[in-house]
Amino acid sequence: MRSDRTTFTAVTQNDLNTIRQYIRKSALEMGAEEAAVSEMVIAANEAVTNIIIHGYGESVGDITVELLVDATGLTVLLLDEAPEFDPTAVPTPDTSLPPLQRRPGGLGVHMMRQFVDSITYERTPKGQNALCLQKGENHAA
Amino acid sequence: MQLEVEQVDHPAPITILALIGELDAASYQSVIDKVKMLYDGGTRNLLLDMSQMPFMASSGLVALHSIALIMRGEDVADSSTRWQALHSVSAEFKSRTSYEPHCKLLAPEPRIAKTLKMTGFDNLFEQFAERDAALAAFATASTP
Repeated sequence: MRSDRTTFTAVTQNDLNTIRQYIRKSALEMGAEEAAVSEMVIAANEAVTNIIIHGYGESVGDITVELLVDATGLTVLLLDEAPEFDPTAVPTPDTSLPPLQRRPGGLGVHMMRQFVDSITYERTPKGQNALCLQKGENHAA
Repeated sequence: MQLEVEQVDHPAPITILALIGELDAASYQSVIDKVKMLYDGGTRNLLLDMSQMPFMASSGLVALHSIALIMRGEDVADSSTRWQALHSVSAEFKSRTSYEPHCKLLAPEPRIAKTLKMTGFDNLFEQFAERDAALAAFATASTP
């Protein structure tokens, strides 16, 4: 098992590329499969974008990214201190609903679900949002 | 993201806009602004060259939707309503019987093509692997 962890401070949309590069480079260096890494990067980018836009909103905050590569595959854990938000509770976009009845960000969450195998969320005792994205090594499309 | 413009006559004038780099929430507005500028400058046929774009986030879908509206000559929603506007036409995407006639995509990489398919955008934009085929397609109507 190999792991790595970095905290990005005062994150804005301009940091998205840096975070993507960190996940990609670190995961590959830890031995994750390229195809799995590429799809994980897509999902993690959507999660981080949601944290920045819908979580921190007008303010800025920190995001900690933790990577784990083991026999089960690649795991990315995202920790932030924005108000409580569980993206796993966001319904899959229902295109039959009028637009104003749909939640913003649903498309990004839909993409997250499509590109990783599992998404779990918990609110930590420290008051952080903890979002865990997992992708098996042999599940890349 | 870097944007490069090329004009060709095939025989109708076609603008090729190369999207170079990663399309995400930090860059999608620049693409919309560029296409609006091109449309206002007379562009009526647009080929988006994605061959040098290795990554596209969901914000890229917002850009593509806005581009479709611009190339139809319709108003583009402001940033606060753009995502809702995108959702409002998702149902339309899935039941479309023709592609956007004035905007096509060149060489999206496989994961971007997967994103386009899972969101119904593959019914909106005709995609081509080869540039010559894409240019030729502006002269004919195609269906999804």
